Amino acid sequence: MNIVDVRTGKKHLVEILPVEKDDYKKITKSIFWLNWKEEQDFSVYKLQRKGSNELLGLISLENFDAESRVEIRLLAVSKNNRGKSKEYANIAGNLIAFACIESLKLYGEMACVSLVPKTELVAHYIEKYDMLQAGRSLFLEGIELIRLITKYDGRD
Amino acid sequence: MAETKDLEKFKYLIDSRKLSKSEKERERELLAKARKERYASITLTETKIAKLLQLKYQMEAYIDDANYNTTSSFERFLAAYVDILYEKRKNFAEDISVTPIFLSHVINKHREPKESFIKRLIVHSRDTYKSISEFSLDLWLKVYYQDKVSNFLRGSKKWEKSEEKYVKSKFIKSVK
Repeated sequence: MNIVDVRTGKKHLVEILPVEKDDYKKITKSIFWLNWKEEQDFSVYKLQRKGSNELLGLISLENFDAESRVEIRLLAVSKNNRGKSKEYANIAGNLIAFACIESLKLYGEMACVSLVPKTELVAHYIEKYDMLQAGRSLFLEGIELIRLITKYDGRD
Repeated sequence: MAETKDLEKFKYLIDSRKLSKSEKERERELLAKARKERYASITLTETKIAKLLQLKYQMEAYIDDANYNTTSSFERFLAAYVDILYEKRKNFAEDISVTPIFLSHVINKHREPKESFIKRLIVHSRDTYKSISEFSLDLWLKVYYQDKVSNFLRGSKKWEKSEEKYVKSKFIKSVK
């Protein structure tokens, strides 16, 4: 997986790893919006450039085994990487693709990833990530889930 | 304008936690219904691709796991790979020019896979995954050798003691 330096267009490899206790010292509301310490009972992962320990994005996942589903409870991109003036592109996409991989590893052909977006952004997620809608939730499964994985995990 | 700017910002934040218990239950029902309808139309090819990708990611996770607490993964992954692609294992044996008995012995751990067997498995996997996803040529080998390392280390408590009598060690004082 890689992110793109918006200024130069250069791609950089990233790794997505479990958040460790010490990381929470660096995860502040001013950079990541919310109090992430509340998520410590769930599976929380960090995205960083390979060889760097600067946190660029975070995701918290919850598995629903009986439904073969992984829910994205929380996802946040660091302050410097949001909006038009962001440093790197593709951070959110990589994190969503990572959730898809985790679901696929666990549930195979039944794998599903769901999330509840802000109502005003439903169209954005449908267009950008090919998500499907059910009630207030958006979800990925089947061929759409696979396509998103192969789009972001092309390993180039 | 300010609203558009705010929305742009929120493309970088997902917070699914805000629903009440009853809303969550309702969402679950709607999601289950939508998925059931979709699943009815899933094709055999889609199922196979999903299973093959699942297998690849499970193998990668296995070699990334440095705990060495699982063994026999090569055989387990091999059986999964064959069963995704073939209704009968003997057809896979035929396709990589080994006997069905040899394949069965490898899967059931009665025989070690020969080097040629692993090479053919790698070539077969390369072709299978070609149009699906990148599949590292060394993945099967890494799984195979990680099993060996796991087995070796699992018995270390026993052999460490018995081998100590054959070893004269050089101890170096620590520097503090």
